[in-house]
Amino acid sequence: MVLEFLSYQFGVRALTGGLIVAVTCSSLGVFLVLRRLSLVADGLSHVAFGGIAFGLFTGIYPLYTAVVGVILGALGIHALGKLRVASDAAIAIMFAAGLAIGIILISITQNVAVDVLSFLFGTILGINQTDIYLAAGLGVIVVGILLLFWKEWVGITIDAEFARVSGLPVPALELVFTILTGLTVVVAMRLVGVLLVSSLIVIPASAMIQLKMPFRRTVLSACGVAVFSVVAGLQLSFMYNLAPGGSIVLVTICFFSLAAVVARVFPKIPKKPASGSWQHQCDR
Amino acid sequence: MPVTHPEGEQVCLTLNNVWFAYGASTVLEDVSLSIRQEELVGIAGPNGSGKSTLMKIMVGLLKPDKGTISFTCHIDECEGITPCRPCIGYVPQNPLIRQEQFPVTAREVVEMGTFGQIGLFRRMNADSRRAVDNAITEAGLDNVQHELFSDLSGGQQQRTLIARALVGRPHIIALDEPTNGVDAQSKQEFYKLITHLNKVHRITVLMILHDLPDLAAHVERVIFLQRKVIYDGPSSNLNAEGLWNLMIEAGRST
Repeated sequence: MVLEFLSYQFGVRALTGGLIVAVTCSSLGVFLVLRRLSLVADGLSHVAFGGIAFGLFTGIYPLYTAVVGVILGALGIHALGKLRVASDAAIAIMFAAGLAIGIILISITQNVAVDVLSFLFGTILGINQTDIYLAAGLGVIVVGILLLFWKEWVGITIDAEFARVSGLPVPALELVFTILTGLTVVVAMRLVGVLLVSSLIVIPASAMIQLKMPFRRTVLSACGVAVFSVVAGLQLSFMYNLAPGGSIVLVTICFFSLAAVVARVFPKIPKKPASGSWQHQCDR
Repeated sequence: MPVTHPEGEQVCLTLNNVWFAYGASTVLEDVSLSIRQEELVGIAGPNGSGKSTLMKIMVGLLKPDKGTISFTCHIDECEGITPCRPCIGYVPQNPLIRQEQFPVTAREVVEMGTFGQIGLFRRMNADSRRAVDNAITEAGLDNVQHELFSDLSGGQQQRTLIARALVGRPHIIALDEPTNGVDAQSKQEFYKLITHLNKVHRITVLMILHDLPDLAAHVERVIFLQRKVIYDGPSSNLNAEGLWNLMIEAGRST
């Protein structure tokens, strides 16, 4: 039966959480991929791992400490950028720092192996009501800020230099954007796990960018791909008893491959203008 | 030495004793110059002479290590703002959008020119949409406005970037090597456009050019840079050969 998992309470929770994650990750993903910052999500997911380990160590709910961890990680990446450290090196440094802190804290905390595995590989079918509320809250914040500053994000994505000359506060916007990426990572982590979290951000966006659509349509279609991938991944996981996180990511990869084939077999041919010179209309 | 301005000349941009270095490597040494309103200025010099750095300082992308830069614009919204953003339209040399597969249409690129003036949070209104429509029509981009920017020809891309810089109605337009990757016909159209903007719309034009014969033919004033200003004067005083000699001498001294 199609979507049979919805007859179970855990299945409804999984789908709800999955849809929140799909929309949040994919809408942010287009901006990240175009700005060549796909690795930021990966770096911050490992910083979040350090935050989770801190939560397990102190007994605080791990997703709360992960939120604090990613915000500190985002500030760290930004601060390293100010010290003229190259952006990929800054991400790698924070990535390593987060992982190192996580490993040390876990090694000195007793009986957390199962919890750690659930965060590393994701447990979408085991998410509870608190996870849903946290994901919904963070998702609303991320998508809300994304929509509120839509033209500013488009501006710094198209041409950050021009945006600065136009007077947009580009460094502040970039910091906010990195924090939003970190929050998105936390939202997605419970679903697909630390190790696959960046895939939901990067793959739907990369798939749709290949189809050469206008900006808004690219973001909307990436959301569509992510939503469909979550539903199809959960169904496949339920039908064949597969790991849900991995199934969702594999569906997104199928979409990416399909889009790659479509883009090459049916390339979009640009129209050529009948005339294309300046009109020199004077109104001064 | 600070720049002194001859009486009666309307100066819109002044640099006094500007120094800039990337780490230990000094790129600009004690550069002082002033740009007068409605001038058509070409900035030239060998590779690494500091041309792009100078332009980035002029448009506010970089802050000088030492020295001052000041704008005098006679529109209300510019008062007290340095650099006076609404006054300057900028055409960067090689923006990220020139890459293949960047899903942005020509119209979306031109729309970006209105973002700074609209302000944070606010969406484009009817006036800004009309300004974009006009800029697109003036740039002859009506037929391709919904095409991806990366699918346009080099000349069309250049016109799109200039339309974006002009949509906010700036008093100064700064162009960083605008004729790179543009074919001969588009280049002629470009110079015609620049002359038109300068003479008819009375926009001050600053542009970095590598092509010395073009520089001699199409600009009124040449600033030749080799970390410091080596020549600053009318292009009519120098034929293309003279500029070449300057460039060769500058190259030898580095």
